[in-house]
Amino acid sequence: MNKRRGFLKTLGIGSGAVALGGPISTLFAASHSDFSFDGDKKINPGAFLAKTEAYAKVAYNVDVCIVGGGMSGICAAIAAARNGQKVVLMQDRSRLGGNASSEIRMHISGASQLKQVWRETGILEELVLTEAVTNPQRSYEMWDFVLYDKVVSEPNITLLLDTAFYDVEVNDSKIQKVWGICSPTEEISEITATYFTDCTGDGSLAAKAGANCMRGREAKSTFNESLAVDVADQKTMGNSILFMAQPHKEAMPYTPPVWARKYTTKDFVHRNIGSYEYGYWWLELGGSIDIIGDGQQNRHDLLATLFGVWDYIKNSGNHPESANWALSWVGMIPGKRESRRIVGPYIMKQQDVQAATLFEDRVAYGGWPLDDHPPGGMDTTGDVPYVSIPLKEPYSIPFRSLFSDNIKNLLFAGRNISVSHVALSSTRVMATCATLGQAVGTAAAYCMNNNLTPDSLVNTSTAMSKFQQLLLKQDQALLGIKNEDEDDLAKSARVKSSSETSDGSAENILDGINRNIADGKTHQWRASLENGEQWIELKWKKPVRINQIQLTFDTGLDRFLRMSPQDWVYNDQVRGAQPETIAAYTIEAETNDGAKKIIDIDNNYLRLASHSFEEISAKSIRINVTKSHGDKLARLFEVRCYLEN
Amino acid sequence: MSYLKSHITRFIRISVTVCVAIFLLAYAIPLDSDKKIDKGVIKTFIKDTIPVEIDLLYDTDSLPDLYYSYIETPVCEEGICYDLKVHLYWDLLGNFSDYEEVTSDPFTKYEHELFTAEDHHKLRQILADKTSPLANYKPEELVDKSKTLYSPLIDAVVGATYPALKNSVVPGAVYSTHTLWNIVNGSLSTEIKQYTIAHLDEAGITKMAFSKNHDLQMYALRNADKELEGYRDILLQLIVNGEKYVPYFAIAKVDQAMWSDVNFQKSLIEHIETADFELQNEIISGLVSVSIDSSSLSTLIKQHPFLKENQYEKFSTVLKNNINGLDKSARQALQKIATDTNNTFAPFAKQLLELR
Repeated sequence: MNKRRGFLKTLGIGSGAVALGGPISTLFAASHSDFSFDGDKKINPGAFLAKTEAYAKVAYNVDVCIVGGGMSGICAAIAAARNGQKVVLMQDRSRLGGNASSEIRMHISGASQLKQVWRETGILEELVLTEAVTNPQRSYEMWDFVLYDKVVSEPNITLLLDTAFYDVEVNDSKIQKVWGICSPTEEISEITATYFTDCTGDGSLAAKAGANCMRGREAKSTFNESLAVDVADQKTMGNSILFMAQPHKEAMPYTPPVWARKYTTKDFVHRNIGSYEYGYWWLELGGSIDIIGDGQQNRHDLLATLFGVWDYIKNSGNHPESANWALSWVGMIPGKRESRRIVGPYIMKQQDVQAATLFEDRVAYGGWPLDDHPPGGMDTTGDVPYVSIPLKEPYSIPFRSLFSDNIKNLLFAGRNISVSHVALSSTRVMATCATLGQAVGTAAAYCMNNNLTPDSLVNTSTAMSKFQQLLLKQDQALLGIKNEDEDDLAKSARVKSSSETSDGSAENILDGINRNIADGKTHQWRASLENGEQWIELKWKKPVRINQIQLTFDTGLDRFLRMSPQDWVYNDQVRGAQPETIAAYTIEAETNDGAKKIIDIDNNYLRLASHSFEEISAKSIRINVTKSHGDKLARLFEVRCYLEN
Repeated sequence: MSYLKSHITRFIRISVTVCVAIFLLAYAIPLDSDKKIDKGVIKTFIKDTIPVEIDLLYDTDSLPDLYYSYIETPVCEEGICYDLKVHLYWDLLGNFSDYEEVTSDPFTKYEHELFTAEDHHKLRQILADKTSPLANYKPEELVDKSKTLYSPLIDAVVGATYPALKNSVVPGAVYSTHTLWNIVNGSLSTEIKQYTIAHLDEAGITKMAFSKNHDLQMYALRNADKELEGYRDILLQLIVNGEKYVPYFAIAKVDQAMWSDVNFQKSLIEHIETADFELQNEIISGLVSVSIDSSSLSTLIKQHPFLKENQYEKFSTVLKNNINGLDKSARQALQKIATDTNNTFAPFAKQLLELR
């Protein structure tokens, strides 16, 4: 198809046009093949098919509909899609990423804060590694496109941008359809699906569907939480707007708008202004109002606060070094921390976070401190802006906190999950949210593929165990789960290697653990690359038929790795490919027809490498490592082999 | 042989500690008969069953000063139990002030080790920290049972404190630290504060303002009656002698009438010499749109050596807005500065002189 003349949408002629899902180009291809383009033929004006009706309906019929394209929604969509489901991902703006996108620019925080070994794995790790490697310029907008690229590259995902959810049909405690409106294209999308996932952050889908929701701060007596307030109220943590600024060669005077607030030194005694290139998380308001309903006023008040703070910096005299600095970007969308929480069969509480309860139905983990912000924010500058209780270790999150207790096909991920206000103060951060997205996306697929419901999945321990094995196979961040996948043919192999270090035995690749879990063991094969290529080999007594090999590499999970507008955040990170990661390797199989090279990779930087190939019968496979991204050792956590249908 | 030696060393260490403790004891417990004591103003319980009596100690000015209580409570450090005995002192708002051990029964860590001077210093820091995680962790939760140490004394393995929480306790005295913190900062603290508030008068508030305790100063600032005669003195005291960030909250309460008051202006202008950079900026900002008395203007000009160059512009604006108030001596002072080639304020002084 000659694309020189660009897109002319032809969908939506009358109602009832059905799209099967897929990226934008295939949608287009599926519509009208007799459409004439410029080039070989002249455009026939008679065949020009612009819509005559504004806001016509476009129907979609998919397996999973995910509302909300932040970190949770993105990971849920990718997880469901990669597990074979047809997915619609609905996002009410033009950019993906939510609070993490260039539109808001909040940090993706999580268990790295423990400063142990717990950076989150799975889809999130894939996203942040890709950004670290492909965006050395630290451009926020290019991070948006890492997310966009990952989503549109999944053939099973139909991405509906600029599409705002506004209505839902519920029948017999099940969501039948949802509707979203896209004004730029004058379309109303009607999505029918088996499962719906609320990743809106505000629990908007859940609220409209009549799911049980919670809001505000529970009293101490409700869940027996020492950090709870004495008397329950409707207050929450506030929203923040961020900014960026840059230094210039000459002095840059600043005059605030007349409606900006006025601040003096006393307003910053508990709020540190350490640098000027990035705004401050404590620039916060909204905890004492209806943080959803009063959002427009809240945004304006936050801007008044932001310009007031910048005025203080530039004109109080207390920051003379700011003389040459000027604002370069100001957010227009408040970054939200808390609003609705949807009720699931289990409500996580403070004790579950601190005591790290090992739930039987655990599907993800968190590790951020219990970090509560008093609702007053910048209205109460005499008070501290946060109270943070450090954790000893990461804690598990149960699946029962991720689906509705009264709407049967509603799952949810992100900050709007089934937790108390106190527990939310830890679970709300985006790295945790991303792993929750992967959990529910995989769950929706697993239920569909195994004829289960979220309820029956939780109540059938064999099903839950198998589900956890699937999550682990797909590198989900999980605590206390070992590889017990019966289908993993690698487990029946014997391992040997060209060499190994004393603490990096070759057998470690089959010990069932694919990361450092701070138990004193490395759980990886290590071999010195200083003397050249190293190999590790799996050999079977009888040849096995395989068509998939999965490798798990070391990506330095003891460090932080995330995008930031703030310079010092990069101090303890390594940008680009992580040095511990194997860069170049080949995989050879010993088959009946002799040695066959089946895989040849020369620039790996991801943690999980999943290789599918034509089925072979292998007596052994050998992984030859030629290069790392800087480390002297070849490091490999795990090898898995499968025969997939 | 070395076993005996360690015992001797330990005996000497304990003896010295005891001697020092007796020496200190003479000055520790308030036995001063000049100062009034109201015994048992608060009678309550801790841990539901342990009765506690709190006394109110007065200062030499016959105003309330500190709260005091003697407390005994059992504590077990990894199976080794003992009675923790302590003299505790709180300030008027229920914040930790100090503690004294009982000479014959000092605090001990596991294996009956005494607290070192460093341990005591650390303990005082922890007890003063109202945001300590000890409020939200049970003592058992602070210890990682999977990481153990062998204790020959009790012939058992004991847990090691979680690394993330190590700084929140005195090493080897997890339970003692936890117990003491909760006694000091728990319900007793709240009841003390309530008692103070219920009985506080203007004299008490003034005493708080003139104390060196920033918490008491902040309370005074927020609760002093603006209508009363002593209010301006309180405000000035908190600006000039406030602890930590108190001056900034205090100066924010200065209204136009006060900025325009001759004596108030004078005091703030004189304070520029010793004030912190940020407070100097606050004072200058406050004076920008105010009419300043002539003699104070002369004093103000004399303050310029105590400013940084990046403050000159705004400082100069204050003088510019009061150019008609400059008397002969002020102009002479400016003249002298303007012709001093070593003085970085000279160009500003020159500009001001050219204005008239």
